[in-house]
Amino acid sequence: MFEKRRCHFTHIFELFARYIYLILVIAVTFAFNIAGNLAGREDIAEDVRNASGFVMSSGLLTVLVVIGSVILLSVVIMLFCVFRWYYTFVSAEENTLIYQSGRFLKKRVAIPFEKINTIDMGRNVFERMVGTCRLKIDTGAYSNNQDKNNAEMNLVFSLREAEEIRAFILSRAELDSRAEDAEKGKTTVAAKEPEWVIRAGMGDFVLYGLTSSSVWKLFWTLVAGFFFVVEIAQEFMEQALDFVAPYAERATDVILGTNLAVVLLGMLVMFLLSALISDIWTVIWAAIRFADFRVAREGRNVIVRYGLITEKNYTLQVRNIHALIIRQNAFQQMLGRCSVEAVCMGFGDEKTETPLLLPIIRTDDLNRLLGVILPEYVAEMNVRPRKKAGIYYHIIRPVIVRGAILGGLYAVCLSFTPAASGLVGALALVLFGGVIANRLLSYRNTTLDWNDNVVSVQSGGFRKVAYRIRTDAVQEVQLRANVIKKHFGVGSYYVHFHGPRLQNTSASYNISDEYFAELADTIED
Amino acid sequence: MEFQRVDKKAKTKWRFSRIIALILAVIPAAALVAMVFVLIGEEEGSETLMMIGWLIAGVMVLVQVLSIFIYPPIEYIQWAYLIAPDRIEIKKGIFYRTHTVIPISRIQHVAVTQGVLQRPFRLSTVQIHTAGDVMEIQELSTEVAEDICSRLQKRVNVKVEQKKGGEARTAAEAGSEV
Repeated sequence: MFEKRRCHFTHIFELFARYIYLILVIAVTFAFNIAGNLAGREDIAEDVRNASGFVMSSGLLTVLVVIGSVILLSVVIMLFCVFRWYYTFVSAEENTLIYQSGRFLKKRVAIPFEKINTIDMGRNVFERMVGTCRLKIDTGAYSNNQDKNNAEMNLVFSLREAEEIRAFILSRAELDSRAEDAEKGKTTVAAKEPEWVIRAGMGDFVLYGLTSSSVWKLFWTLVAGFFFVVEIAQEFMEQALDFVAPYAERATDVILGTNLAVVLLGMLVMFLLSALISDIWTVIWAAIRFADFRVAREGRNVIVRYGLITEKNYTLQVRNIHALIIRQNAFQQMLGRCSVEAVCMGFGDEKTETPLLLPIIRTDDLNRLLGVILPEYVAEMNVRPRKKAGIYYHIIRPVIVRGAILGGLYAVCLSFTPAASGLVGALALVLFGGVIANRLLSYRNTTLDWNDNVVSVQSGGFRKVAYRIRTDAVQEVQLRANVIKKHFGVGSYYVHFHGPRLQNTSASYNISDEYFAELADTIED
Repeated sequence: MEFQRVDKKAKTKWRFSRIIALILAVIPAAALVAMVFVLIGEEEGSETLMMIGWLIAGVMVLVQVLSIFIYPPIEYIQWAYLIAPDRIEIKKGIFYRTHTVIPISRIQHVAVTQGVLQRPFRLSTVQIHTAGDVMEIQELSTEVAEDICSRLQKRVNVKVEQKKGGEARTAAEAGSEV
């Protein structure tokens, strides 16, 4: 229990920063307006008049009035922020955290400790300079307004105070021996550094950035923009031919002919360049954003900390983690790496939050690491055998259908650009190879396993996604099959579970339907 | 425990609502066809176009006829629900069949709704809300629907009490160990 507390006074400046753009917009509008006239040029003044609807005189008085009003506005907003800060309190009663704000328009939020899902301590550059910390408390309650679906409490405290409040809430929420410590005023919990299970290094983030970049997305975009590229390339080719011709002709006359070679080279260079830029960007972004990524298990909580410029410090309660999502794209499958996200109530429902638990780890290490952080999710699975009919639905049918579509597209392309037949053919072949590889992977990756604690649903070809869902978070299971699939004993399983979004579904397609009754029995207990 | 069928009046209701939908769709479509006929009917080479038009219209009418006259009996046979002591099972679909299982303990709340077209037939829909999804048992007679609703409500309460009791026991056991 603690008395009413006010936030750190720097909260005022952080509130003020939200309104700065307003002041800036007004100031810039006036400044341009005056400058337009000051320059004594009718054409500029005319443009300004068109843009803002009026032109002000450039006399000293006007300038002073404008500067004065901008300052006045700033002062008014500043006073408002001070007012907000002065009348915002946090206090704690027996079982609830109470947050109240406002003098005239009063708001009072009471959050029972046991309903608090995540406690997030974040620090941006400014907060690190002045030694404060942003404390967010989230219950994971839904809000009708999607934009407002964020933390219930979001205030700035000094670091020491924030840690005290966090330790207090944790001790209350957990109702374990630490509650007594907190009662005696010994808040040693937060001061002690947790035992980090994983400390992701720089190399990990290079790998994370490289393997999670959107190279494939770019590739598909380029394919989609094929005609456009051909157009551009032909334009460009005529210009560049004089320069490239001596090399290109010699190298590629034999294979495809000059035109095509240049187009192909252009596309390849474009693809590689954009892939390179995107890779560099994702590596830098990941390195800054997730710098010094640490995860630890502490009692009934998982603690996640990361960030170079903006430091994040999440405390997730294990009982609120309902599922893990293990993602692997094509590169990561090749390199034997995967990344793990947590599906946790109240975490990851804000736009800027990524519920990352393990950024990138060896797939072989997955069970060992989870054994330390979340042993609840490690379990021997009974790997269920695949059904032969699945081969038809996973590989043969999609390959035939997609092959036919590609063939049709090829024919259409040819009728438009007969000159580029070799190129289009090569592209279609590459795509067809991709389709086959994707479907083969998809057959291999699709599984459905479960035991008493966890249901594991896995699917996807190049983008492999595995859900490990806590059995008591599963809300319903569904088996879908058409008449023919039913005849062959094949069906798709849909597992709905309770998560921070309104619809949380994982699916595993075209596997034997005989497991359904058993799965349904498992989730009932 | 055996799977229950939906109310017999459901077949009539499905036909009725689909006929209304057909009328609502056919009137503007017919107007459009007439307009096209007036505009290009006399022109050279319009016969192929008209042929394609008639073909599309024919297929659409065929689909509607199927859905009005043929599908309802099949749907009636294939739609089924089962309310067991610990779970609800729902089967749906004509070609694409879905089988859903919801454990009673996961139900958040149950609601009975009645649409405009259901009212004349005294039919209702039971909506079962879980934390992840909403499932519906459609076209039950209103009495059955309300009965199911109240029975489910009681069972959910019992399950919740049991679960709470279980948790309290385990907590007490844990406490005694310490």
